[in-house]
Formats: sequence, structure tokens, C-alpha cells
Amino acid sequence: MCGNCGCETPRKIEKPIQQKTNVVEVHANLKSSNDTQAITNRALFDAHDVMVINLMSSPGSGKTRLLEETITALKSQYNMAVIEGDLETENDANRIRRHGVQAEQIATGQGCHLDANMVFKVLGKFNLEKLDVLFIENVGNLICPACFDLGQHLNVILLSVPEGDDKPEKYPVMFRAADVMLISKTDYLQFHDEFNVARAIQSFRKVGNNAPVIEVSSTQSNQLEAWFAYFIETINARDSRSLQERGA
Amino acid sequence: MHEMSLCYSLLDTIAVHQRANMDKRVGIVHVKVGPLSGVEPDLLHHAFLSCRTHTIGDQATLKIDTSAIKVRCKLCGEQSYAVVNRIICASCGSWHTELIQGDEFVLQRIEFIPSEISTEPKERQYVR
Repeated sequence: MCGNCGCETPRKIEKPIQQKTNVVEVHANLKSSNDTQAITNRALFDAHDVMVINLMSSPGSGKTRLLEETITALKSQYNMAVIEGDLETENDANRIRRHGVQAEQIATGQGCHLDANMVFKVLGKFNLEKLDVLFIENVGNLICPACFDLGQHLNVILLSVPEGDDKPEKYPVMFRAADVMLISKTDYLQFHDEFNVARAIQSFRKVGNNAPVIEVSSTQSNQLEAWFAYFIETINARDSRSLQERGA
Repeated sequence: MHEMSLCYSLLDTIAVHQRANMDKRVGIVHVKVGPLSGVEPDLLHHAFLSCRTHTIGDQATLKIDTSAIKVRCKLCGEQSYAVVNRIICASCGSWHTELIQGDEFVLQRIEFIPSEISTEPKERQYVR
């Protein structure tokens, strides 16, 4: 067919213009501009012995509440600070500041994720020398933040009970990135009999992740102990590793 | 949405290579996208059409190759293909797998065209 009206005239064959093209093989990683900045960030954190934890989840799964409880329980032991990522408002940063901890808000506008450059720009506001732990609360989103390394040492992913136990296999890229998965709002388990913790863990394994899974509830007493233990253990392991490196 | 920012990163990389080919225009740009890269080929394609305007890639065509997910089993050692939400060994069913391929987002090659030859087809058709 001719391509214009569908008649039987053969379509005019366009001559390929290959003879003068030159092909440049590149094979470059296209996330490299973010990754390069992330490497710089990580080197900066390491130089100041700051452990950086990137919190990712859907909006409303309890990231800020978890931070508030962690800060309340452990601020006597560790100097902590928080970078908050949200599209708008300072609400989350204000919630953290009430606990006497420095928090800087990055308002991304319509941006769906934090990237390494945004984090770097806000780092000047912190005295890294005095910090032990810096939390980055990423924009609530199970898709985009997974693609952007910020220079963190640990990715913590929250899956709250009301979201359903099959989220990992629905958002495999995000859940593959997790170093630990917290099943949050376990106090809702009594109302959501369709959420099965074993099924959630199985779904997490299906995306090829064998990271630890911890159940937490920020509203009930003693339901965060396992998370605190993991948190302290991870910091201690990191400290002894860096001591060894310096000794060697 | 993040495909937009990735497109700007792509155009930056193209610009670096274009400087080494001063008399040439950017023709076809080949990228490879793995299912676990977090990049959606359709969205990337649309984002590229918006982002390339008034850049060195103004008349460039984006050709996206998709790759398959390939894993190596840490238990039985077999290599097999997997789908995006079942990254388990096809041979023994274990989830102790190591990703060999499938999370890449790579600029493979750029075809440069001498600037005197028009690359603009009558209808704007872009190879997908």
C-alpha cells in the first residue's frame, strides 16, 4: 500500500542514509551523574563517621512516626539528625524538631524522589562532625526513589499492614533495594485478617531479597524493641568495621 | 515521572560525545533498559520527545532495547531467566539468587549523521 490512501501503489522506498553516519559505541551507565554525586556523599559521610539511613515506603506507612519513636528512645546514645523529603510543607521536619533534633526539609515540588544532588545541597546545614546517624526520609513513593542512590549506607523499607501483604511483588524494584524491611502498624493486624505476615515475607523473598524482616508498631509499647536492637547492632558492626580499617 | 530527569542525564551524556563529533548531528540513540532498572521504556520515550527540544538531540531518534532478567542461583549454581516479581532460580526454585542482568540503564551507541543531510522524515516517526 502507498501509505497515504491505501491504494496499491507501492510505498516509495526511502533510501537509507547510512553511508555517511558514524556510530560511536558508548556503553555508559545513564545513572552515572547521580551515582557520582552519591559516591561523593558517601565518602563525605564516611569521613565524618556518620551512618546514613534512607527510609522509603508509600506515603502514610509510618516513616515519620518511626523516626520520632527512634529519636525519643535513642537520642541519649546517638546524635541524630533528619533530612525530610516531601513534595510540600515543613510538617514532618517540624514533628522531628519537637524532639530537639535538627531536621531539614527538602520540598521537591512536583518531584517524585530525592536525588544525590538535593541531599548534597542540604548537607551544608548540618555539622557532620557531631553526628552519629543521619536519617533521610525519602518522598513517600514505592517507585522512583529506588532508582536514585543518595550515598546512604542502609535502605530501610516500611510496609504497613493496611497496604496489603503483596506489595513487594507489585513493586519489585523498590523492595529489591531494601537492606531491611519493617512491617509497620502491626497493631492493625487484628482488623486486617487478610494481611498475613508470612505471606508478606514470602512476597519479599520472591523478588530475590533475603534481607531481615522486622515487625514494628509505633503506637504500642515494646513493639519497636527488635528494630532498636537491629539499629544498634548495625551501628556497632559499622563502627567496629571502620576501627578495623583504620587499624589496618 | 523520574524518566524526565533520566532523559536530561541522557542528553548530557550525548552532548559530551557530540563535542567530539563537531560536524555531525545526533541521529539514532540506542539505549538498553532492563526490567529492574526502574525505567519504563514507554515513559522514557515520551519524556525524550519533550526533553530533546532545543538540545543537541533536537532531531534525534531514541531506540530502546529491553533486556531480560538473568540470575545465577547461589545454591545450585544454575543460570536462568526470571520475571520481574519472581526473581527465583528456575532450576531449583530458591530465592537465593544473584542478578547477572536486568537492572541496567545504559547508553549503548550513538549514530551521528553529517549535518548537511536532513534527518527529518516527512512525518515524524520514531523508532521504538
